[in-house]
Amino acid sequence: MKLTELFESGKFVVTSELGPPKGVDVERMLEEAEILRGRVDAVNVTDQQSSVMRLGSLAVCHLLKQRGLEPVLQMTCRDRNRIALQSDLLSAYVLGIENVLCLTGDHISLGDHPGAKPVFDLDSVSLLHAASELQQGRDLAGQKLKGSPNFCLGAVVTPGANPIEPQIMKMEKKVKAGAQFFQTQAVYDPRRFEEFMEQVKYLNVPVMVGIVFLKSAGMARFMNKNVAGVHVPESLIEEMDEAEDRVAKSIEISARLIREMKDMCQGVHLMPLGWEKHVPAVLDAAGL
Amino acid sequence: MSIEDVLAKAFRSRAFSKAFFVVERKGKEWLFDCQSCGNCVLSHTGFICPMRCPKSQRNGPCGGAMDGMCEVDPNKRCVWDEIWESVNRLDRVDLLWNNYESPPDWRLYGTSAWENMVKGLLHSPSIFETLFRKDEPLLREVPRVVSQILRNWFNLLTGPSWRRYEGRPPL
Repeated sequence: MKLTELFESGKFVVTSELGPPKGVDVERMLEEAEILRGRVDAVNVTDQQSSVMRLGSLAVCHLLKQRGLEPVLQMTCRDRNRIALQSDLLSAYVLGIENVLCLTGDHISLGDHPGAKPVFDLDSVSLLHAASELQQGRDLAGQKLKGSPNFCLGAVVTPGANPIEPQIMKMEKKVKAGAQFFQTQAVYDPRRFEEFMEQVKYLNVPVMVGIVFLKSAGMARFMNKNVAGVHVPESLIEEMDEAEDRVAKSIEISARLIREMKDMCQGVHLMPLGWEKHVPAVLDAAGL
Repeated sequence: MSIEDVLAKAFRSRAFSKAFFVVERKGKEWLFDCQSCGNCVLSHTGFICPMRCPKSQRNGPCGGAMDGMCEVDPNKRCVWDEIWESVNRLDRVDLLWNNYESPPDWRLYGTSAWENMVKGLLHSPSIFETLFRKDEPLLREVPRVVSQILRNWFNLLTGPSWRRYEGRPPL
């Protein structure tokens, strides 16, 4: 099932994120995926998140598909050149994976193999372009394909970036290159998000607001200092600081953010970062 | 006969081609910290080389910059932050906004972008594109571009990471 079909039907689309393990023991990850069954429309599977070497996204997407869950394959340009990326897109389609999220990817120096060769042969825009070309029945070199794939292509945007214009410029390029939906970086400031949505209204493309579960006040401060385009307002940090039950507070904050931003956008993308078990509680509290 | 035709003829001589490349390469290294990709897009990006970006981003910023500093090396300005500033000063945001830059052809790595341009090997823009604008007379445009290039160059020289490790992520 493609996410675009859901957007077209007018549904408020919910996705959540799943991180493959470092190793081959997939038991726990599949348990986490089971928690999401029936609650989310699709599950994003990250591609070597934070440049840390781990089990591949394609294999995990296949496992999810076998179990009847709808995967979103995340593809980054960090580790593969244009031949490998195009080939993996074809492989994904053959395995029944229809939703692909195209990203540039974190830089290698931030991960656990900082000495590896950074590839970045394509960027997120040219990766979307490549996928669109494959759908047209030809590859980036203009060679004809024997049977062409048909994807629902997604991309990402950071609504909290400063300045915002270059982000919107790139977003427009992504739409022109074939992006059919967007998932955003974590948003904690509904008013700023409303402004952003107003600015990108002309692109007429579904946007899913990103929600990262706040686990503690310390995590919020860390993100403010170290994560680009993410700003947790002081009031939320205080709320977390004063809370006796951090989990309950976190669920309450996430649900509140979703309720406030529900009418501004077309879906929500949850990034539980290990708190997958609380996803149903957040969705219940948000009325989804 | 246009400048490009004259150059195309001259490039048939290997001696000229070699001499031209040496001057181009050294000049661009000095002025733009050129990475010699041979697929030059400088005239679209406000004369800041996007290949200096650790992720070689040619179509826009990656979303990892913190307050205008690079996520790979926080001591270094985000290349796209510099590009944005420069194109705004030149009033040529349109060149950036309306052009999809195709991925570089790596066969051209380490060759002269001018020669590649006049031989028609590039999808990327003509180097003259920023200089020649229909609504502005050349005499006004050239000094503006030159002064911006010098300003960018000064920023590059006085940049916080100049003495440490130009273009390389920290160990």
